[in-house]
Parts: sequence; C-alpha cells; structure tokens
Amino acid sequence: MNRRLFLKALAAVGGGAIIPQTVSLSSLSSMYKQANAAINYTSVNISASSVPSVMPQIINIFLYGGPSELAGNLSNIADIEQNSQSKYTDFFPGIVDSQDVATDGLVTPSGFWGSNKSGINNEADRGAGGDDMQFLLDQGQMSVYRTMMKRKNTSQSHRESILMSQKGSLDIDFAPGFGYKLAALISENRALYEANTSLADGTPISSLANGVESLVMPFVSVLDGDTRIFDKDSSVTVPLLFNGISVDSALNNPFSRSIPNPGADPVAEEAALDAIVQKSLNESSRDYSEVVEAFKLRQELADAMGVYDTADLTVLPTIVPGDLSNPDFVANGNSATLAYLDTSVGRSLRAAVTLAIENPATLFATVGGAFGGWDDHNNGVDRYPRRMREVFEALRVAMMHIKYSHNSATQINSLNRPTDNIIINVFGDFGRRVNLNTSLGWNHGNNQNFYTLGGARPGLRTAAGSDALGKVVGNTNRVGNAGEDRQFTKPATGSYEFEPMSVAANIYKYFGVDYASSPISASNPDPLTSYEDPNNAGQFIDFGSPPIEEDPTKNGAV
Amino acid sequence: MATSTSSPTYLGGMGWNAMSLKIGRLPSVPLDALSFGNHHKALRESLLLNTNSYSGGVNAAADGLIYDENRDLRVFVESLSLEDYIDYLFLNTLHRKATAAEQQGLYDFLVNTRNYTDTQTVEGVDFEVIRTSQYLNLTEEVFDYISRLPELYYFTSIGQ
Repeated sequence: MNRRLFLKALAAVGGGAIIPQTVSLSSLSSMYKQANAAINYTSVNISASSVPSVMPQIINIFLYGGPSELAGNLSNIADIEQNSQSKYTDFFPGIVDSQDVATDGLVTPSGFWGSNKSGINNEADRGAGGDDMQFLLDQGQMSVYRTMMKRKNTSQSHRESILMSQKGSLDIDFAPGFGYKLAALISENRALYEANTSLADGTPISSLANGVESLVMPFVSVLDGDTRIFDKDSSVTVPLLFNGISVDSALNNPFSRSIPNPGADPVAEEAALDAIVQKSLNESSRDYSEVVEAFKLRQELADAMGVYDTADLTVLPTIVPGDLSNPDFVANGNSATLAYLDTSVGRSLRAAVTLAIENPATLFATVGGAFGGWDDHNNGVDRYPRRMREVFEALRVAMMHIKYSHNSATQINSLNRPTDNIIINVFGDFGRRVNLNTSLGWNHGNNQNFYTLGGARPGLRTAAGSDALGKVVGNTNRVGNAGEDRQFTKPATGSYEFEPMSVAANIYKYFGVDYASSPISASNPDPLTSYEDPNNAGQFIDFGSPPIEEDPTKNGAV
Repeated sequence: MATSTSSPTYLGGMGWNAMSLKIGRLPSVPLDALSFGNHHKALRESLLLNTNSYSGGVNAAADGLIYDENRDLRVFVESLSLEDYIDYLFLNTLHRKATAAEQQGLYDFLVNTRNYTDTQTVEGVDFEVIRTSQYLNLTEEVFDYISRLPELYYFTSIGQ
C-alpha cells in the first residue's frame, strides 16, 4: 500500500466511521429524555423481603422479524389447512396428523411441529423443532405460552413492535430499553441487593469490594451489538459495566491490546505511552468522553475476558448416566457428548450460556442478531422449519449444558454452583398470520408464542419454581375468512393472555419487583412499564403491563 | 476484506453492516464495547501497526510513507529530524503536528527507552538521528501512541 492508499484507508476505516463531535449518542438520548418524566427507580415496589436471595440470570433471545407461531402451535392446524390459500399438506403431508408411525404425522402430543416418526425420507419429514420442544416440555425444562397477544397497540410494523418489546413499554420513543431499566433498578436499589442477595456461586454481593459496582459483565449483548434493549436512561447514571457490554460468540477478547516491539518491561512501556496520552487529553479542550469511556471499558473488559480468551468453549459437561436409561442421552442421539451446532445460532447461544454458567455476575444477556431474520413473507416453507429446528436443538443442548453444570465443577472456572437460577426467554417482534400465502410465507400477525426455559429454582418463577415449567399455557382459535390472507390466531375465550411488555415486567419480578402486593392500576401505574403522556405530565396512556402469570393454578396451564 | 467475517476489518464486527438486520439498531455509529473494540483493533492492528500497509516498496508497489518503490529510504524522510519525523507521522494520521508535551514524551520514549536513535554531534551540539534500520519500529511506536488517542476516532467538524 502506498502513502496515498494508506491515507484513503485511514479515511475509510478511521475517518469514515468516527463520531461527529456535535451530536453524540448520549446527547441524542438526552434530547429524547427531555420529553417525558424521569423514571424514579426507587419508587418501584421492591423491598428487602422481595429481592431474591440468589441473583437470577436471564438470557433473552429475540428473534428479529417475528417468527411464525406454527412450530410451537399446531393446535388449530386442521382448521387452518382447510381455509388457507396455499395448502400446508402440499409441502408437509403429515402436518395435520398426530405423530404416529401409521399416519406419518408430524404433530407432537403437545401440538408442536415435530418429525415423521416412521422415518425421515425428505426435508418435509424433519419438522420444525417440535421434537426438541416436546422433550424440553416433558422434562420440565420449558413452558410454552401460546397467547402473547398485542392488543394495547396492534401495530404490526417491525419498528414499533421491536421497540415495544425491547423497551417493555408502549412508550417507544422515550423509554429506555428494559435491559437498561433493569440495570438502573439494581443500581438505584443497590443497598437492598448488597444486604440480601448473593451470586449463584454463593458470593454475597456485600462481600464484593464495591458491592454491585464490582459485578463483572453484568449486562451483556452476545453478537447483538447496540440493541435497543440497552437504550440508555440519561436521567440516571449506572456503573460503567452496567451498560450492555457486547461480546462475540467465541468470547474472544477483542479488547486486548498488544504493544509492538516489546522491550524488557512491556507493562512500564505501555504505561509510559498511556501517560503521554493522558497528558495530551488533559491539555485538550475538546470533549472526547465517549471514546475515552469506550477505552476504559476496553481495558476493564480486556482484564475480565482474559480467562475466556484461551478457553475451549466446545468442551461441555458430559451427560450422566450416559446410557439408554437417561432420556437426555436418548434425546442427544444416544450420545453422552454435548455439542452445540457449529452455526451462528449454536455458537452465540453457547457463548451466552457459557458466560452465564462461568460468570454468575452476568445477570442479563441478550442474544438475537446471530439468530438471523424471521420475516418470512416469502418461501417460509423452505426456510422456517429448518431454522426452528436449529434454534430448538441449540436450546435443548443449552438446557443440558445448564443442567449438567448444576452443582458440578464448571469447565472453565471450576465453579461449583447451582444453575437453576438461569432462565432463557425466546420471543420476537410479533406473530404472523396463519394463512400460508401465495408466496408460501406468512404476513404479520399479533399473536405469538413465548418460550421460557430453565429457572426452576423455588421462589423464582413461583414459590415451588418447577411447577411453572413443563406447561403449555393459552388456547387459540383461527379467525378470518377462508381463502383470504387475513387469517390469524387469537386467544380463545377465557384463555390466559399477556402483552409483550409483560416479558420485561416478568424479568423485573425475578429481580424483586413486587407486583403481587401492589398491582398495577390507574392509581398505581408501574414506573417501569407504563407510558406517561409526553404532552400531559401525570397523565398515562398506559398504566403498565403486569408480569406473566406463571402459577399453573391461575393461568390455565395444561 | 471488509465483508469477510474472519477479517479483522470485517464491518459487521464493528456493527456497521446496518442493513443486515433491517431495523432495531441505533441511528448512529455503534459505540458498544464490542463494535468499538473491533474498530479500534482493526484500525490499530491492520493498518497502523501493520508496516506493510504504509511503509512503501512492498512488492515494488510504489512510494510509501517511509520507502520509495525500490525500498530505499525516501530522501526527504532521511532529511527529517526526529522531531520533524514525528510531526510527519502525526500530520499523516491526525492532520496536526504533535504538541510540545507529545514531542517531549515520545522523544524520551523513542530515544531513551527504545534506543532507536544515534547521537551525533555537530559543531558541539548533540542531536538524535534515527537509525536507518529503525524507521519501521519507530513508526510503529508513534502509530501505537496515535491509536491510543481518542481524537483519532472523531471527525472534527469545520469551525470547531
């Protein structure tokens, strides 16, 4: 490369990417925030008796684009097939029949889109992940909610729907992301956690040098970049590491920095250069704070991630006992060796689960971008089943990874810790229509499935914990005219249902927000999920969304 | 190069492949830790600390920052004092000369810590001359310093 090209490269890689000093991200969020009242995180109903004794750990998987519900809900498939513009049975002959060798059916006992048990002869026989769903359900490791229904705001635009879900509020313009609200909730109520809560490895938060501020990588984005889940609330300041830290799927350390031509004392040499940098910064009158902050983060993360840099993430716990008496062994293809698929989905989930297991201080991790786009308007029949299989195979391996790490020395840090505080949630923008359109895909709809896995620890989901798992919750009906595109499912009369914003409220509940003793109402709007009218302070467009009802005696679970 | 996921300069690693997920992203340059970490690493390791990217004379390509196409030290580079050479590198990357504090700090680092120079005495005055064999190393050190400066990652608008 000659000098001219070097200068062009600098302009492209450096100059083209850099930040105009006049408008920064924080100034943008400040502008947004001026329009509504600040959230008072200390006014949230949380107390010493409601915060958890052990910090939960949440992995949030967001399927951008909004996947069809059909993989997890074929309960209406006969009606759908009869009325659909394109016929499902032209592509999946067994899709209206129960899984049975005699019929070549694909519908699992709980109504999932499984495989043909009489043999796999072609792609159509493989199903859409229903076998792994059924396994996870039968083993009490997952529940499926079939009626996460948007009613408060029925927009089917991606932007509005993503923001509602990722902010946990109808206030899509001004509300912070729900990951950031969770960070602020913990930070602003830190005394409660420092007095009452431990990490899953038994470390009391009070024993950490600076309490919650000493948590390493508590909020993480695995290959999800600058997700809106971590949109900031400029009215509060959280510890630097509470801002969502993004990592890659190999947990490589992109933050490391080697020095060229190191001499006898590289540390001192690096310090000498950094001292000159500091001097230069001190002399400058310009505001470089965003990059200065990014550099500080880089250094902290370089130190924090050092242990993972050389770790072999493919080494997972072994299934025990490794024989046919163990359903896990059978579900794993008669193998005791666990392995995630070597795909973007598998690798990113492996990274998130590994981080959760090996670092009990990782309280919330978001994964999504690596799972691809699910906006299957066209050719869904070709793309959707294969990718759902991939997702649920990865989730099955993830749950075994978590299960066999429970109170057993972990692979990297040799922790001996319970893992029943780890929860994985899966959902997307919205649902899709159930009419298979003439382009062999599905247009947008308002009802979707919510999959939630793990977290059987007593007191976390319910008092008993495990009774909230292994359930299918919510019943649906098909609605719409035969032969028209606008056909979708909606909750059946009397069925339990909830809004997408309730996912955020549910996570707040896990971390101690007590909605039960102080239900959301007109006189008691929820500071975290409500939508205050930006033009009329004190007036609420929405009082908030309650957490998901996980008690099987109250939500009609089967 | 920028579209290969295994490349250090992969734009997706820096969070710049904005259209790949359609929506759901911030309307500005990603400054999340991973995106910025990858950006910093790419700029630093693929360009500034990769002497082949700028030194010149590699595969007889053309004149570079340091060498001509025959891999001989460029005449005007050879004529620069250490201070002027530092300024030359600053001007090529930051579009400004080094400040007095930077000159002093880097001079001390390059002369006393790294020993990249020889002392010559002309008419009774000592001054430091860059050793011919050390131009690449010395340039790397200065660029290492520059890669640590936050200002490298900003675009200063006109009038500021």
